[in-house]
Amino acid sequence: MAYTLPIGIVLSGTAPAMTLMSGAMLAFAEQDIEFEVISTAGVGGLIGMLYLAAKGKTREEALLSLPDLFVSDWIYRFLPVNFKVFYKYGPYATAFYHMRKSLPKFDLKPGDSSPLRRFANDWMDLWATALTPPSLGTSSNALMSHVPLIDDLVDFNLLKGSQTKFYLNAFSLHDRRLKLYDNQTVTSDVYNGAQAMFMLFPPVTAGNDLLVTGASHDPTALQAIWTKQRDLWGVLALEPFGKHFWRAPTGVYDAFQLMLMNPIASLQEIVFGLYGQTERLMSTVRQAGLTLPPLYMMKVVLNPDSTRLLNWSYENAVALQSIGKTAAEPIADILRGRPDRTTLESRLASYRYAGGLLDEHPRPRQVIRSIFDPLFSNFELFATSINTERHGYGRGTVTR
Amino acid sequence: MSPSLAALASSFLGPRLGVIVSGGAPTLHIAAGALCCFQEQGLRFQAVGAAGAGALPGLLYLAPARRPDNPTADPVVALRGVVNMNIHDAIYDLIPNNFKVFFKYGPFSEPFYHLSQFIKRVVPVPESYGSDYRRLVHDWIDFATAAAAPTTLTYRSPSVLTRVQVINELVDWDALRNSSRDFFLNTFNMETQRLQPFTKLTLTTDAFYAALAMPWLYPPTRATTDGPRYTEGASHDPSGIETMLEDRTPPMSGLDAVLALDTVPPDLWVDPQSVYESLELAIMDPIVTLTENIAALYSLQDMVFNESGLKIPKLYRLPFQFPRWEGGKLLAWSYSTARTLWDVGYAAAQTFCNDLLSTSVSQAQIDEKYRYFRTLAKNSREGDFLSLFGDPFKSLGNTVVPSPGGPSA
Repeated sequence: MAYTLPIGIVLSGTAPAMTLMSGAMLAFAEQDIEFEVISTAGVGGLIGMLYLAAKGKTREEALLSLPDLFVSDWIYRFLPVNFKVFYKYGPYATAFYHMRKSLPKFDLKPGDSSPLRRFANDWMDLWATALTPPSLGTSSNALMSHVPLIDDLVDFNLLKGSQTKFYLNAFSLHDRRLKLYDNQTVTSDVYNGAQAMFMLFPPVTAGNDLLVTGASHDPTALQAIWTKQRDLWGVLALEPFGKHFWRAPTGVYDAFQLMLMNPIASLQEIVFGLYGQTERLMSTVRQAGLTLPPLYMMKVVLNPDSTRLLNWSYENAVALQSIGKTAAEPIADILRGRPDRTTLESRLASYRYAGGLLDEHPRPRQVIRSIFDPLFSNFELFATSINTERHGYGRGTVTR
Repeated sequence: MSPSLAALASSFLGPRLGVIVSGGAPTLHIAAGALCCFQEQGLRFQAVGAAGAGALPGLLYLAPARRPDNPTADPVVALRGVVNMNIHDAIYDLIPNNFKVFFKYGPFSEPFYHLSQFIKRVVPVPESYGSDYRRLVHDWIDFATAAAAPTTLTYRSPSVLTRVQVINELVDWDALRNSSRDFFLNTFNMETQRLQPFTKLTLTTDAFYAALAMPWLYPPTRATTDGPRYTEGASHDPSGIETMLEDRTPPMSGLDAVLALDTVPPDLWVDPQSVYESLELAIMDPIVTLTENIAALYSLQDMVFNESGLKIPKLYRLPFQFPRWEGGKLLAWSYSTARTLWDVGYAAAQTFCNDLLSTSVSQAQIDEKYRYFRTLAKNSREGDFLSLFGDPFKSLGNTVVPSPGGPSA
């Protein structure tokens, strides 16, 4: 039986966390949990849509199949690039994508490792990628092209009819602001725009807008929560991965990915930290109308080492999916019991980010306790001041 | 030198004034232009806080080295010379790469750099040819030697670039240590996973490079032999605000107000025209957002607590206006772009000084135009972020009506 509580979940925008998130959502799928809100950024959008509107599959099958987008270990050992997700830039990328789909391949069930058959399938994909003609232009503005992969994975009509509110953020190059798309407005173009990280993919035209990824602006996907869903009972998230990106590189390719991820991870850590501390303190402020859903964090234990987050091999994807599932299972078990609000808050208390796992994240703690110490040490004064009519500091009031 | 400007700045902003130079490559030239103008006008900052690329103009402002082209170690000369780090347009149009700043990975880049310097000394370009031609020839020599330098880059290399110790030719470290003013440069300590500032007393050549060790470009770097490894602080607080205004480490330097030189504006966000431009955008994208978020929240905190009696340094902002047609070129390393950015910084600082010097200006008008929070709007990226805390823009109070003779729009 479907179970809906006013609980939301945010799925972050960092591509390396894709399989971790799929594992977490698998844990909830197994308990038949329906969320009130799924807010996403970047590739988190794919996981959220697979949960709500997988095309031709159940959500469990769709999520379990996600590691199929990763590369056979036998190939990855020699060519550590995910050519099954990232398609060479050029005008023929879509045509060759369809050609690849039509190639005869072994049928692999979700979770079927079968290294030899997986190698054979991916070997054909590799050659199809290698033979895809590059752009004939003298210059291109990205390394990869979008292909209609999302149309094969997600049923957008099903998404429109979902009872769960779905958000995907993307950054508008026209307005130069983050935009929040929902069930009714997400299309394949919007999705591709939301994945369009500069350099990897070109910006995407969606309607009258030109979009790039929102994950560089709000990788937490929390903005939809604080701007549109402040009445939720709580919001769940996977622990941010800053420490796994703030390390010495193992090589040039690893260093390149760390360079791209470094500030995004920092932004993610800081916004999660600020949100967590704010919601905890806001619950103590007595002013009417000041609410923010509590943030509960699923702890992720990445064994054996941090480098695996940037590994795109099949075996690693399966392992990460299992880690994500393990991280979410305790909370899925709590939700399975269909608790009322008081019981829920009590049982989730140990997962509350502020006062809990946040203490294990030095960087957001530093931000909270140093530069913003006045704010958080005198939070009631701060919150009431900025939300009281007699104050007001904005320029919206200026007349000329 | 205008004594009245310093007095007016003290009156309007506070007796002890600091300046913050944020990270991001374009900041280098914008900040150099702005600081040059302030130096010429006699507006003196008691402390400089910097992140990433902002470190160089900050250091040139406080402690430029004596050089043949700057025998008196004049900050104005040093800051005007920053544009020469970029590449002559005739070369850059063909090879869009700054080979004068970014050196190939491997041990050969340093000797080839010195070879380039040697060639330029022994084969002078006659003065009569003009500065543009000299720049072209010198940049061509730099390109030829950089291209000829072998590289030992492999897949296993920790980075794609190598340090060449040019900073020692530009900065006088002893003068920095003996300066009466403070300097802070942020860096990220990989052991503690926290931001850590280097000060004028702890900053060395190695520490400088550690604070600019952006992953992929450079490997994590130690400031001392047995010390922890660092990466660039600008990936964590590109605004630089945190470094100077932390209330514990380092102790707040007793500042009354801080002027933040603006970060790269929305003009940055364009449809890229090349992979190289898109790479730079990929790097700058989250960095600009981080800067905006930290600065916006600090500015709100400043408004609330200074009004309620808990004094913290007030945050002011020096905004920059870019020609719209230059939007797609902000990340280029060409000489013409450097001049554009430098001039933009200089003009913004000039306007700021003129506003302070205006005989009819009031405190309210200065705050309206430069107090950081007052420059924000509800319907903006910063407004979206600040709505996390409620609605700081809801009130109809604090209405300000600038007079016609007030600060320029």
